[in-house]
Amino acid sequence: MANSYEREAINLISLYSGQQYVAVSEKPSANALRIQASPFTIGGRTVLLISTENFTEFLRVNGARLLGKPPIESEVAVGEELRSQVNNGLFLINGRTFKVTGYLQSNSYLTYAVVATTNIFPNSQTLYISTEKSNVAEVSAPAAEQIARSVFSEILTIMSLVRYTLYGALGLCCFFQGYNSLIESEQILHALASIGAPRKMVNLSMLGYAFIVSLTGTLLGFVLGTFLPGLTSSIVSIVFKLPHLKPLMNVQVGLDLMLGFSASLLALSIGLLGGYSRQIAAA
Amino acid sequence: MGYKRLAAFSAAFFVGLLTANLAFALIVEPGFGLDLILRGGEREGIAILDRASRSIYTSRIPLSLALSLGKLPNVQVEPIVTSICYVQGSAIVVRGVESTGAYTRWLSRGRLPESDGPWIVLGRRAAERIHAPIGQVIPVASSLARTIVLLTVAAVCDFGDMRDDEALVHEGIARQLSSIPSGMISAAIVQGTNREAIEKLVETNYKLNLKCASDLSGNLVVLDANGVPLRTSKVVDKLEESYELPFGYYTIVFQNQYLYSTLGTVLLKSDQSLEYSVRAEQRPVLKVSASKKPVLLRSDGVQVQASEEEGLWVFRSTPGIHRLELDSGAFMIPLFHSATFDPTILAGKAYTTRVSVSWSDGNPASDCSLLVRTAEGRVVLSILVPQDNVKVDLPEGSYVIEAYKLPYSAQISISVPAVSDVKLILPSIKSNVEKIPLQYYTFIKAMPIETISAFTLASISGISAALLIGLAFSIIFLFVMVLATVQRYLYLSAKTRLTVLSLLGASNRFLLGHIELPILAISLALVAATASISFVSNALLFSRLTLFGHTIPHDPVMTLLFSATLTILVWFWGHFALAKNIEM
Repeated sequence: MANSYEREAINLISLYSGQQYVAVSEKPSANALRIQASPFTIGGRTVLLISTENFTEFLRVNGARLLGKPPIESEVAVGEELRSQVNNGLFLINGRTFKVTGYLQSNSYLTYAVVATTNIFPNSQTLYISTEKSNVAEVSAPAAEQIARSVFSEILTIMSLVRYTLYGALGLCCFFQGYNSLIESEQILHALASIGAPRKMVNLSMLGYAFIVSLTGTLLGFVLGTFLPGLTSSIVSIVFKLPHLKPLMNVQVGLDLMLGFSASLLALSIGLLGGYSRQIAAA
Repeated sequence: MGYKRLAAFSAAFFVGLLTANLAFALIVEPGFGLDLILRGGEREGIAILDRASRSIYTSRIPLSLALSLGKLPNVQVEPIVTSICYVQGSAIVVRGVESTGAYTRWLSRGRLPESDGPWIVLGRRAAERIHAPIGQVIPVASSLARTIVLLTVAAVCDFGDMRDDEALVHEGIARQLSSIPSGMISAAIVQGTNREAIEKLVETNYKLNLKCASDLSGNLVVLDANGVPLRTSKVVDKLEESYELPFGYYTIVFQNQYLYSTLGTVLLKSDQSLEYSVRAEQRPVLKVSASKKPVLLRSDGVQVQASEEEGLWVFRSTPGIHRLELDSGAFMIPLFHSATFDPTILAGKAYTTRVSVSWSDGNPASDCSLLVRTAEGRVVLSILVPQDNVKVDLPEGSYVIEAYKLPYSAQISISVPAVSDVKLILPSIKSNVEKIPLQYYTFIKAMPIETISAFTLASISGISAALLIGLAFSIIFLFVMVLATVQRYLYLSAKTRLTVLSLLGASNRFLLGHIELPILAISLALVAATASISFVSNALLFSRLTLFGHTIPHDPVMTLLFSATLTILVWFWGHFALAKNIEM
């Protein structure tokens, strides 16, 4: 059900997010714009120094506007918020002065940025920006789908760890139930011993019994685990008009069934055989 | 019972409890963590959300509503701008802050930024998860908008709570990431009142009846708590107007070409009628007491001619700021109505009064003209305030202090020496603020903090909350069964001895004292041991598990209580089963 929920939710979010993307990556990809960014502090304020080979495209990708001319070599365009740092049309960075050709208007970080067309800034990080959704990109916006995937991944990791504790509980429960049922069947075992039932045959019967109980339990668990959430989801979707979730069958479900069956068979067999040995020894 | 059986029981019970604690740490504790995350980390108070929103992260409410609620007596309001963003492979909650000054005590590495800009301050665990050193530029993606912001990691803070998994950015950047326009916030956390009171306040509109008599023609403007003009009416001599407005803190200002003055403020929580008057003259007269003829200059530099009447120098001018030059010095005189300038009143014992002037958004106002009049209207002092505050010495009495930074002005009446600290607020209309339809104010939803997460889950899907709760209860029940089976083993394996004891006439009380209570003691000792081991193992094994980018909180007391409850339930089960067997 958790996997089914994830699939349905991701599909809905993908549909909702639309097709307009902006993506940033540290790895190059087709049609991506290469920029170099480095942080800098001017008058106690953190600003970004950015260089890009395609200034116009950079503005388009970021949805920014330029008041003035695009910069060329040794020239920069500065964000509106940095206007007060410009003296006589010049901007000072690390002791170097750059001619300011225009001011960037943006509702984003570019209002605090200094943009040049050549890499004139030291220790810069290389990033690639594109307007296409790409598998290479580490970050793309709107990030609703990535966030949902990340959150589901967190939840599914937790659920998979819970599974192991449940196997542990199942094993413990089967072992003690097997052992206890043999202790409770003291009189029947004594009767079997008195009529000379071979120990090997009783042991094999125990194993057969463990097999049947484990198989029945696994199948019953599978049917209930599939049917009940499916039924709940159907009722909820009819009453509250919410999307219906169909239980998802995949390899993971099969693996869980196998592990559940193995754990219960092993623990029940050990419990039954252990209990029988104790009763034989006591007799 | 036999040492071997007890050892086997203890070992099995220990394993069962340990497994139960692990399951509890993986199911129930994330539930508590999710509950806190969906509340935005808030533990107390009333959350004000947009009625159509699904969580604190997707809500939008007007900032002026939060500011207005904060004007209610004994009510504290915390506005929140927050959203869930995506950074380097993981979801992260980003909160907007106006300044980082309050965070200095939690600073762990780096330097807290002193102004706005493209910076990000990471919580300790968020920094570990993102692997971003100080000074690195990281792209932060908005969940809803087509916006990626490049931010520089400025500092890492160690809060010691769930904020360690979050990030702080400047409020402006937070607005971009959450697509919240100016004038709006995500939500507000209100303390000091209850949900019913807030909903009652906001569900209806109220009538504000204004009467204004004015010597000058101009406009009467009603500003909301955020300084945004909501209503404007033209005033010629007299105005009577009735406005229908939602609950809020409103400022009524008069505005014309020369003057922009606050007439009053009102916290509108019922129908109210207010009367104001604007006293200014077209040809104000200034009378000056001086031995030598003074010089009065208008702001445009034109000298105003003086005549001598009844021992005073009389100037007839136009409204505005004037410069008066006397032998004793020069004074700035805001002249909007007839006045007599008589600084001799200041002679005698004086008390120091601190006067500060600021704009309505809280920023200090410098270079303002300050005029001090007596209650009778005689001007005793006129000075320029170079910074945002000034100290003036005044004799005992009642005064009106006026601040002018044309066209803006504000005034206040005080009594000296009762008042020693005066704050004057110059009105200002904010530009570029989102125009919020007034109907929006009544679309809010107030709910106790503890119900937000259930509301969110229920909104996302009707079955999510039920499934989680059902899963948690199923697992708890399963472990009760497991431990009961283990305990049953102990009683069954000692069945013969117990039967003998019963035949010998051992009472239930004897069995309780000599068998069951020692078993309970052993079980509780195992509870303490497993809870301790679970707490350490949870911290080691599950420290990397996150939910909405938040590390899952592990509470040792909660684990201990869970184990103890399981054990006591199982013990009672065993007790009744044993009593039944003995009877049979």
